[in-house]
Amino acid sequence: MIKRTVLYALVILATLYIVTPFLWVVSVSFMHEREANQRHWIPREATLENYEMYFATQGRSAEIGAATARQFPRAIINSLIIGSSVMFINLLFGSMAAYALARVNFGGNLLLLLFYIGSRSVPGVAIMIPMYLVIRSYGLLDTHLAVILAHSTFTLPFTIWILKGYFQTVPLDLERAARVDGCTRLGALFRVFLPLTAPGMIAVGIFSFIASWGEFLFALLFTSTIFSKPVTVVASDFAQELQVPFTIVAAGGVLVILLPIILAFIFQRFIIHGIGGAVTG
Amino acid sequence: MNKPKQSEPIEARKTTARLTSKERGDRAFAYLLNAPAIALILALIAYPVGVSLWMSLHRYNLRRPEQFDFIGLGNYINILTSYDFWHSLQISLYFTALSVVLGIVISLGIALLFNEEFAGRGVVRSLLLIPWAVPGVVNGLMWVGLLGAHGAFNEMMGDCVNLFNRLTGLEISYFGMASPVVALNAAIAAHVWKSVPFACIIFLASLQAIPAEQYRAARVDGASVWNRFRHITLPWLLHPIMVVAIFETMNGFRAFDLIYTLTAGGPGDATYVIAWQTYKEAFARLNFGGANAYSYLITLITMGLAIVYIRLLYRRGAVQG
Repeated sequence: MIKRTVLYALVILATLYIVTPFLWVVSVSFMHEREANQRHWIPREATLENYEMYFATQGRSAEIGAATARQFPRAIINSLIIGSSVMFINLLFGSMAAYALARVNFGGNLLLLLFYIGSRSVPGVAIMIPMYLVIRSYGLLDTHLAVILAHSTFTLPFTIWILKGYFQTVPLDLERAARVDGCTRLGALFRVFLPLTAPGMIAVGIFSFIASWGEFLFALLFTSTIFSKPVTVVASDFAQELQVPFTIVAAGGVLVILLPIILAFIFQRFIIHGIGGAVTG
Repeated sequence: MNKPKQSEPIEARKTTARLTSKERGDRAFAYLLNAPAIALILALIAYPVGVSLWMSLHRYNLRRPEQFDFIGLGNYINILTSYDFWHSLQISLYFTALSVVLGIVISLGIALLFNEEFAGRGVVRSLLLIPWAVPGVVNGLMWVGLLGAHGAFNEMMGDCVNLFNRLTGLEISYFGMASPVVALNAAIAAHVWKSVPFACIIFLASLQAIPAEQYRAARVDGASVWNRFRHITLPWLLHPIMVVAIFETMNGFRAFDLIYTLTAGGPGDATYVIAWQTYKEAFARLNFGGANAYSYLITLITMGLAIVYIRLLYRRGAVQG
C-alpha cells in the first residue's frame, strides 16, 4: 500500500518535471501581459491577443516584437516545404541505401556503414564554414534547397541505420517468392518489401521531419531573408529583441512547437518502436 | 545485437576475379542504391571537412579577404595558447559532464518508474515525447521565460533561496540569470530536460527486453529490491547506458541552439561553450582560418571521446557475450 502511494507520487513528480515548462508556456501564451507578471499558472482572463500578433496584426505593427511575429506565417510555410522535402529524400535515398546494406552482401558493407555513421561524428560547427562557402559558390544562399540538402545530409545516416536494422528482420524468402513469381528486382522491392516495412519507414519519416523542423544552425547560416527562413530562425530573433513581452514570445513558441508535438503524438508508437528497436535490436 | 540475422545471405568473401556475374551485378546494384546518399555526404560533409582542414592552415580573415597566407599550424598554436579556447573547453567539459550524468540518472529513474504497471501509464509515456519534439531554440526561449524576471521558476527559486536564507541565517542574494553560475546551470537544466525523452525511450525498450523469469526466479530466491536491481536490471542496462552516454556526450559538445537563445554566451563569457566560441570566431571576428582550426580541435575531441566510449562499449559487449 505504501509502495503504491510512493509509486504514484513519484510518477506525478516525473510527469510534472516533463510537462510543466511546456504547460506554463502554453498557459502564458493565453494571458494578458499584466496577468503574466503575477504568479498565475492558469489564466483568469484568457485572451487570444498574443496570437493575433502573428496572424492579424492590423494596428499593432508598432509594438515590440511585431516585426518578428509577422514573419511567422511565411516561416512556417518554409519549414513545411523544407521538412517534407527532407522527409521525402530520407525515405527515398535512405531506404535505397539501407536495402542494399541489409540485403546484399558486398565487400564495402561495413565500410559504408562506418562512413555513414562517421559522418555524424563531425559536429555541425566544424563544417559550417566550408559548407557555407560551398553553398555560396553554387548560388544557393537563401534558398530552400540549401537547407534541404544540409538537413538531408544530417538525417540520412540515422535513417539508414534504423532502416537497415528494420529491413534485416524481413525474411528474405518473401522476396525470393516474389522473384519466382516473376517480379523484377525493383518490383519485389516496391510491391512486397516496402509495404512490410511501413512502420520503420513511418518512424524514419517522422524523425527526419521533426529533426529538420527543429534544426537551427544551418538554417541560420544559409538563409537571410524571409523568403527561405524557417520558423526556428525567425523564432530566434525573439532572443535578440530584449523587450518583447513574454506573452508574445510564448505564443510564438507554441506555434513553433505545435506541429512537431501533434505529429509526435499521432505517430508515437512508431517513434518509440523506432528508437527502441534500433538500439536493442 | 541478439537477434539472429535470418536474412543475411551466406556468401564467403571472394576476390573480384572469382565473382560470378550475378554477384558482380549484385554489387553494382548495391552501390547504385547507395549512390545518392554517398554523393550527398561526400559533397556536403567529406568535401567541407577537407576544405576546413586546408583553410585552418591559412591565415584567412574576411576583413582582409585577399590575404590567404599559409601559416601551417599557426592558427592551432594561437588557439592552444589563448585564454578563450581553454575557457570554452572548460565550460564545455563542465556542461557536458554534468548533462550526461544528470541526464542518465534522471532518464534511468523515469524509465524504471514508467516500467511499472500503473493507471495512465500509456498517457504518461506519450507525454514523454513533448521535450523531444521541442526545437532547441524554442527550448532556450522557454527557459528564458521561466527563469526571467517574471518567470514561474525564477520566482520559485527566489522563494527557495529566501527560505534557505531564513533557515540557515545566510544572506545569499539570488540574481537569476544575470549570475554566471545560475546561467550555466540553467543551460544544463534546459539541455537535460530536452534530452531526457530520447534516453528514457531507449532505457524503457531495454528494460522491457529483460526476461521476466529472471525477476521471478530472484523473488523465489528471496532477493531484495536492491539486489534484484543490481544483479538483474543493471547488467542488462550497461549497454544502453553506454549508448546513451556516447550520444549525450556528442550532443553536449554540440550544444549551440540552446546557448544562442538562452544566454548568447553570457553573462560575460560564462556559457561560452566550444560550439559558441567557434561560431563567434567565425561570424563575429570573421577569422575563418582560426575558426576552422577550432572546428578541427572540436572534432578531434569529440572523435577521441567517441573512440574511448566505443572501446569501453565493445569490451563490455564481449564480456556480456
